[in-house]
Amino acid sequence: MRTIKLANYFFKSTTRDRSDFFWLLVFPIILLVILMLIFPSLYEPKEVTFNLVFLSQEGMFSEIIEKVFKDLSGGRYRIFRLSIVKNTKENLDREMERLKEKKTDLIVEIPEGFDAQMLNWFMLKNLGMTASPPSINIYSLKHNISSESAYLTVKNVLQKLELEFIKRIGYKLKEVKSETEVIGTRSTFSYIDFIYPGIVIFVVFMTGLFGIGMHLTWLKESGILKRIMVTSLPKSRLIISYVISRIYLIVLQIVLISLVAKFLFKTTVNPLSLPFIVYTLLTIICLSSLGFFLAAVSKTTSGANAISQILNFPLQFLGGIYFPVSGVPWAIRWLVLINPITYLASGIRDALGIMKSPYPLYITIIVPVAWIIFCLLFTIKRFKLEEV
Amino acid sequence: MKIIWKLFLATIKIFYRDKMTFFFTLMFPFIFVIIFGFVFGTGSSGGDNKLLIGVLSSDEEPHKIISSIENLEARKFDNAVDIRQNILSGKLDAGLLYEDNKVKLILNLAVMQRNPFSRTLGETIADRLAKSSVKIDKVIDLNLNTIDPGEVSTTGLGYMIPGVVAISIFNGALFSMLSIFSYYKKRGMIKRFNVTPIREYQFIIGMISGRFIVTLFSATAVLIFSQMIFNIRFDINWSLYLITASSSILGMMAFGILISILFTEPEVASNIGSLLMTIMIFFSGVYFPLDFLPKYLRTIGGFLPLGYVAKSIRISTSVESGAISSVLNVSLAMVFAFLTLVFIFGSRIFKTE
Repeated sequence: MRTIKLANYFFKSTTRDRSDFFWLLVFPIILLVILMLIFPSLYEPKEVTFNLVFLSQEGMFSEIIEKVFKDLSGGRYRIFRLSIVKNTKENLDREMERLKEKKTDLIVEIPEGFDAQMLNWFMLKNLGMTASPPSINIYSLKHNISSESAYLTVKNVLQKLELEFIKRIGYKLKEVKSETEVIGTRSTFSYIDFIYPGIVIFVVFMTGLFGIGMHLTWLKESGILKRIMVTSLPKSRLIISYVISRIYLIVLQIVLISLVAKFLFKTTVNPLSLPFIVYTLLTIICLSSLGFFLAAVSKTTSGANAISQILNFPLQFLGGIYFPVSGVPWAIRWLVLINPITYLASGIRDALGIMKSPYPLYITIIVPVAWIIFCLLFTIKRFKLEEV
Repeated sequence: MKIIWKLFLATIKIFYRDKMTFFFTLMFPFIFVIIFGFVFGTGSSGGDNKLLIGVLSSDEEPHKIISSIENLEARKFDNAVDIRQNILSGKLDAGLLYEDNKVKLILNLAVMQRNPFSRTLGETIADRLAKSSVKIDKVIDLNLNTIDPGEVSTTGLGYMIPGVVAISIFNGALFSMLSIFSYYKKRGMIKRFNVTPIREYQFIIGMISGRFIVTLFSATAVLIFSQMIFNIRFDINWSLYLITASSSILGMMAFGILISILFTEPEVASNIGSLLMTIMIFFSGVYFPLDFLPKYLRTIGGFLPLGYVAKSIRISTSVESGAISSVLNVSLAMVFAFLTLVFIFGSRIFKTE
C-alpha cells in the first residue's frame, strides 16, 4: 500500500509540474498534429498546379508542343497554370526574374529555328543518317521543390511526345513497360501509420530523458530521496514505487497518443496487436534504462539537463522517428548505428508491416537489450556508490 | 553610462558561464545543420543528389542508358535478392530489373523522400530503352538550366544555413528576453535592482544590449563556422547582414517581451516560447518546403516572421536574390515592433514588482 502511495506521489509530482505536464503529455500531441500537417503533403502531393511559362516560336512542331501543354492546363485537375509568351530576349529576361522571385515554377523555351531543326532531324533520319537532335531549353530554380517537380512533369510529357513523333514517322517502337516498386513499406503508404509508432517511441524517450533522468536527478539533488531513504521504507520498495509511477506516466502518454492517432488521423495500426505491445515494452524498458543511466551519471539537475539536450535531438532525428534515415556518410552513420532508437523504430515498423527494417529483426531486439543491460548494470553500480 | 557598460559586461559573462544557454544558442544550431545537412544533403554515392542504381539485366543497354543519364551511376548485379538487400540497407539508392521488355524500378521510401527525381526514373529509362530499339537516342534534347536563386551558387546545405542562422537569432533573442523579463522577475532579481540607484532604462539597455551582442555573435559564428566546416561559399554583404541580423534580433526580442508580458509564470512563458519555436521551425520553410502544403497552412506560414528573417539573411549572403528594399522593410518592421513593445511594457516589469 505504501508502495502505491509513494508511486502516486511521484506520478502527481510530475504531472503537477507545468513544464513536465506540457513536455510529456501535451507537446507530443501537438508534434503529432504538426507532423501530420506537413509530411503527408511531401510524400503524396495533392492538387498541385505548377506555374509554367512557355516561350513559343512559330512553326508546326512548336505549336504541337504548345497544344499539349495547353491541354494539360485546362479543367479542374489541371497540372499547369500556363502562360504563353513569344520567345524574345526581353520576355526571357523578365521571366527569369520571375523564376528567381518564385512567381514562376519553370520556363520552357522553344529556341529560334526549332522547327527547321526538327524537320532536318526527321529528314536525315529517314535517309538513315544521324543528326544532333534539336534542343528545348528549360529553366528551373535550384533549391526549390516546386520547380524540381515541375521539371520532372514537363520532362515526362516531352518524353511521351518524343515517342509519338517517332511512331508518326513510321518507326516501329519496342513497347517497354515500366513499373515502380517501393520496397520496405506497405503498398499503400500512409504517413500516420509510419509516424504513430515513432511518436510512441518519442514520448517514451522524452519520459526516459526528462521524466526519469532529470526528475530522478532533481529528487536526488533536492534531498527528497535521502529523506525518503531514512524512513522505514525499504530501498527496493522505493525503486518499485518510482518505476510504477513512470509506468503510469508512460501508459497515460501512449493512450493519449493512440486516441489522437486512431480517432483524429485514422491510423490502421492496432495498438493492441502483439508486435506493437512487444516492441512498445522493449522501448519502455530500453529508454527508461537510459533515463536511469542518465540519473546515475548526473550529479546536478543542470548537468542532467545538459546531457539530455545533447542526446535529445541527434538520437531523435538520426533514429528515424520522423523520416527514414539512409545513405548518410560515415561521419554520422556511426551515430545511427549505435542509437537504440534506430533499432526500436525499425523493429516496430517492420513487425507491424509498415516499413521493412534495414536490419534483421533479431538485431532490432539484441541491440536495445544490450543497451538495457549496460544502462542497468551501470545504474546499479553508480547508485550504490552514491547513495550508501 | 558606466552602469550600463557594467551591466552589459555582466550579461555577456553570465551567458558564457551558463552552459545551457550557451548550448542552445551556439551548439544547437550546429547540431541541426549537421543532422539535416547529412540526412537530406547526400546520397549513397556521397555527392549532392547522385543516385546509385543496381542493375540486373542480360542486356547491356540499361546499364549504358543509366550511365549516360546525369546524376546516375550504374552498378551491375547478378541477382535481384542482392539488389533488394542493398537497397534496404542503404547501400544502393535504387534497383533496376530489365527482362522481357519490362523495366522494374525498385526504390525505398527514404530515397523517394530525399530525391523526388527518383519517382519518374523507371518511366525515363523505359522510354530510353524503347527509343534505343530503333537506334534513336533522343528526338528532342532537353537542355536543363538550373538557375541559382542568388548570385552565388551553393549546395542544398548552403541554402539552408542562412535559415539556421535565422533560427539561431530567434532562439537566442526570444529566450534571452524570457530570462530577463520572466525568470529575473520571478527570482526577485528585478526587485533587488529596484532598491539600487540603477534606473529602469539603464537596466533595460544594459541587459538587452548584452544579450543583443551575444546573440549577434552566436548567429554570425554559426554562419562563419558552417562555411568553414562544410566548405560553403557565401558572398556576404556585411552591412546588409548586420542590419538584417541586428533588426531581427530586436524583432525577436519583441516577441520574447510580448510572451513574458502575456504569460507571467516563467515556466509557462518558456513553454510557450518553445512551442512557438517548434511551430516556426516547421512552418517557416527553413527545413521543410511549404510548396505542397494546403493553402491555409501556407497562409499561416506567411504570417510567421521567421520565414522573412530567413529570406533577408539569404539575400544578405547572396544565396537568394531580392530587392534590398524588401530586406530593409522587414528590418524596419522588426525595429518598430521592438521599440513599441519596449516603450509600452519596459517599465511595467518594474512597476508590477
